[in-house]
Amino acid sequence: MLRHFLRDPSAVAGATILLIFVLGALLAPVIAPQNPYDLEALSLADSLKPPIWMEGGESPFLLGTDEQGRDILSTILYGCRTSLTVAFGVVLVAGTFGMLMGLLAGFYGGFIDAIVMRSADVFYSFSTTLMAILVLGLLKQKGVLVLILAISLTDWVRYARTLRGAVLAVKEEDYISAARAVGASGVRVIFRHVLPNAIPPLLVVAAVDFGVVIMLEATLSFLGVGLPVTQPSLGMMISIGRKYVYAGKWWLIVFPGIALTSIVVGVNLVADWLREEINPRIRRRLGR
Amino acid sequence: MRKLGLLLLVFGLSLGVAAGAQTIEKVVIGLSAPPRTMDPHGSDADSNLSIMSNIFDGLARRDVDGKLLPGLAVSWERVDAVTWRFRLRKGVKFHNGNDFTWEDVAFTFQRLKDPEVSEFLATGNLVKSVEPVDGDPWTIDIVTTRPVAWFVQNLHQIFIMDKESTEARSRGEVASYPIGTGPYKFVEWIRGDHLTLVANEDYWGGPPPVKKVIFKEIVDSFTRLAAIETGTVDIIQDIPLELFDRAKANPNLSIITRPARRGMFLGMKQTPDYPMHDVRVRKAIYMAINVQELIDKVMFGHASPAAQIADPPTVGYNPEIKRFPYDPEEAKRLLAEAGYPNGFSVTLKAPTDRYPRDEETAEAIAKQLAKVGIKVTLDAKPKAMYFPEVTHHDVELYYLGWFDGAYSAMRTFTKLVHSYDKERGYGLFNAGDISDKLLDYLIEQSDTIVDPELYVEWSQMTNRIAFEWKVVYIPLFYLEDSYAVYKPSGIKFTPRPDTWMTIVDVIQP
Repeated sequence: MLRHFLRDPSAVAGATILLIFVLGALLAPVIAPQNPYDLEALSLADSLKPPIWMEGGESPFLLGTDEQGRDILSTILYGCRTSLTVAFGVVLVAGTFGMLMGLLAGFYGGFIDAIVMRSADVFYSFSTTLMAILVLGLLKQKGVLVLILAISLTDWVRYARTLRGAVLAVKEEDYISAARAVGASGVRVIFRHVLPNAIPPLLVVAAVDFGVVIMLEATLSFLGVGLPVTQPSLGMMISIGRKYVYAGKWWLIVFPGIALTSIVVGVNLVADWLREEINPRIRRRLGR
Repeated sequence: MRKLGLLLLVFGLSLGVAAGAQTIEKVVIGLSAPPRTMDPHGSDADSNLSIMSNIFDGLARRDVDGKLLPGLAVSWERVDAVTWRFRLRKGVKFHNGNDFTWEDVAFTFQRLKDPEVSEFLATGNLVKSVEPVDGDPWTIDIVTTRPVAWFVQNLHQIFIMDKESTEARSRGEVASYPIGTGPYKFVEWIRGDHLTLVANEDYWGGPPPVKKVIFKEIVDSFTRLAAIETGTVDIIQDIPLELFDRAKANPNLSIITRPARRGMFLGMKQTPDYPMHDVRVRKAIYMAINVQELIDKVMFGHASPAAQIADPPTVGYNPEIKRFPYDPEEAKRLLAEAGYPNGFSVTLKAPTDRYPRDEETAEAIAKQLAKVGIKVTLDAKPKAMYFPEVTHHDVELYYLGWFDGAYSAMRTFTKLVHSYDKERGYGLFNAGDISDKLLDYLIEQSDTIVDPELYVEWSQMTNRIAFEWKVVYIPLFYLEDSYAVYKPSGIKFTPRPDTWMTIVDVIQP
C-alpha cells in the first residue's frame, strides 16, 4: 500500500500539503509569532498593516495584520487548528453514530431498518448548512463542541447510508452464514465479521467528508454563526477580509483563502488516492 | 396636422424645461435601515419615523436645523404644569379627502396607549385627556398625568392619524396602507425591496417640489455603495467606513458628513451581585478604555469623543463634563482597591448589524479591558437577537447608542437612568438596573419645573452628577452621519440632525 502511495505523485503532494498544515496547526502555540486569541496580546496600534515586503509592513507581521491587529500568519495557524479539530471531531462523532446506525439497519433489516433509514432521509432532506445554522441559532452558544454537534446532526447520514449498503452486501456471504451456524451471537457477528469487511468504503466516505466539513466550518464562520469573533477561523478571516477588498487591503482575504483552498485540495487528493486504492475495480482498471 | 402635433410637442417640451427648474421628477434613495411597518405608531425607530414624516404630520415639526416649528398645530402654550393648549390648523385634508379635526388628535393620543399597535406607550400613558376649550373645536387642551417639561418637544414624532379610516380598516391594512396629511401620498410598498410615494399636490405647506420618491432597501453597505457608484440610486445613507476613502475619490459622488446626534456608550449591570455595583469598578472600566484609539483605528476617524450621552443641541447637555483620562495603571489600582486585584470575568454583548463598526468596536473594547485584567467574553449577535436581551435586562456589559428625539437629556434619563418602574413608565431601557435615589429624585423633580432657565440648569446638574460622580454609563463617542449623492443627478441634499429622510426638508430643487 505504501508503495502504491509513493508511486502516486498527486497523493504524495496532497499528503505533504496536509502534513504541513497539520504540523502548523499542532505547533501553532510554538511557532506563531503571536497568539491571536489572547486579547491581552493584541494592540489596535498594529491594525491593518500590510505584508512585510510592502511599504509600511512591520516585523513580526510577515503577512500583515487584520483590523484588530491580529497577525494574519498566526491567525491562519490558529484558524487551521480550529478547522482541523472541527473536521476530526465531526468525522469521529458523525462517523461513529452513523456507523452504528448503518450496522443496525443493514444487519437487522425490517422495522429497525425502516426507522433508521427514514429518519436518515428526513435529516438528509435538510441542507447541512441550513440545519447547522438553525441549531447554532437555537443554542445561543458558541464553541468548537457545539459546532461539531451541530454539523454531525445531519452529517451522520452519509456514514449510515454507506455502511448499510456495505452490510447488506456482506450479510449474504457464506462466511456470515457459517459464523451464525456455529452459534455466534448477533453482536459478535456484527463486530467480528460484518464490520471489518464493510469498513473500506467507510474510510473513503470519512476522507471525503473531512474536506467537506472543513469547507462547511468555513461557511458557517463566514456567516458569523460558527465561533466567537474573538477566535477567528479561516472562514471568519475571509469574512473580515471581504470588507476590505475594495479598499485595496487584499492581504486580509487572500492569505486565509489560499490556506483554506490548500487544505481542502490536500484532503481531496488523499481521499482520491484512498478511494482508488480501496476500490478494487478501479485499481484493476488502472493496472496496478 | 403633423406640423401642429410637432408644434405642440415642442411647446410641451419647453414647458417641461421651464417647470424643471422648480421641480424634480423622481428621486431614488438607498436606505440602510428600511421601515418595518407603515403604521406611524407601530415603530419608534428613527428608520421608521424617517419615512413616516413624509406621509404624516405631527402637531409640531422640526426643520433641518432641528428647530421646533408649527405643524398641524399653528401655536401652543403651557397653561399650567400639566396643561398644554394648542390652536389647530384649519382646512387640512387627509389623503382620502377627510377633514383634519380635533377628534383625530384625541383619537391619535388614545391609540398611543394601545400596546397592540403602539410603540409610543410611554407618551400615550402620559396623556390624561384631549378636549376642546370652551366648545371651540380649533383650540384644544392636552392634559398630562404628571408634569412633563419636554412634552411639546416630542410632538414632531407623534403622527396624527385619520380617526374614520383607521377605525374602519383592519389593523393589517392600516399597517400596510398609510393615510396621512403629509406632503407625500402612499403608492406601493414591496417589503424588502422598495417603497414608492408621490407628491400630495394639495399639501397645506404647498405642493412639494420632488414629484416622486422611491426608497430602495439596500441593507448591505457594500451593495449600497455599489448602487450609487453606478447611479442606480441618487442618494445613500451610511457610507461603509472601510470604503470611505474610495467613495471620496469617486468624482461622481459628493460626500456629505455631519456629527451624528447618536452617542455610543457602554452600559453596566449594577445590581449588588455584580462587580460593577462598585463605582470604583465602573470608573476603572472607564479609564481602561482608550477611546481615541477606538476612534482612530476602529472608526477610522469618523467619530468624536463623548463625555456624556447627550449631544450639544440637547437641552441638558453640559459642556463642563469631562472624560476621565485613559489611564490603565489607575484603572488597575481602582480595581485592586475595590477588591479585584486580579480583575474579573464579564460578558460584553453587542449587536453586529446595528451601528457602524459595532462588532469591531466591542471586540476592540474587550481587548483594551483584557490589558487591565478584566476577562471579557464577547457575545456579538444580530440586532434581532440582541435588542430583546437588552429590553429584558439580560446583560452584564453592553454596547448601545442613543439620541433623544425630543432633545431632552432628562427624557433620556427617565428611560436610561431612573430606577426601573414599569407602572410609572420609568427606566424602561435601564438594562443595567441602575438604582440611585438621588438621581431618581432629580429626574422626577425636573418635570415639575416650569421656569425654562431653571430647567436647563437642573438638567445640566443632574447630567454632571450622573456621569462624573455616579458613572452610571461609560460614554464613548458620537458617530458621524454620512451620505453620498450621485452628482450627475443634480440634487442638492442637506441632511437632518435626526437622519430623517423628510424629502421636503432635505432635498432642494
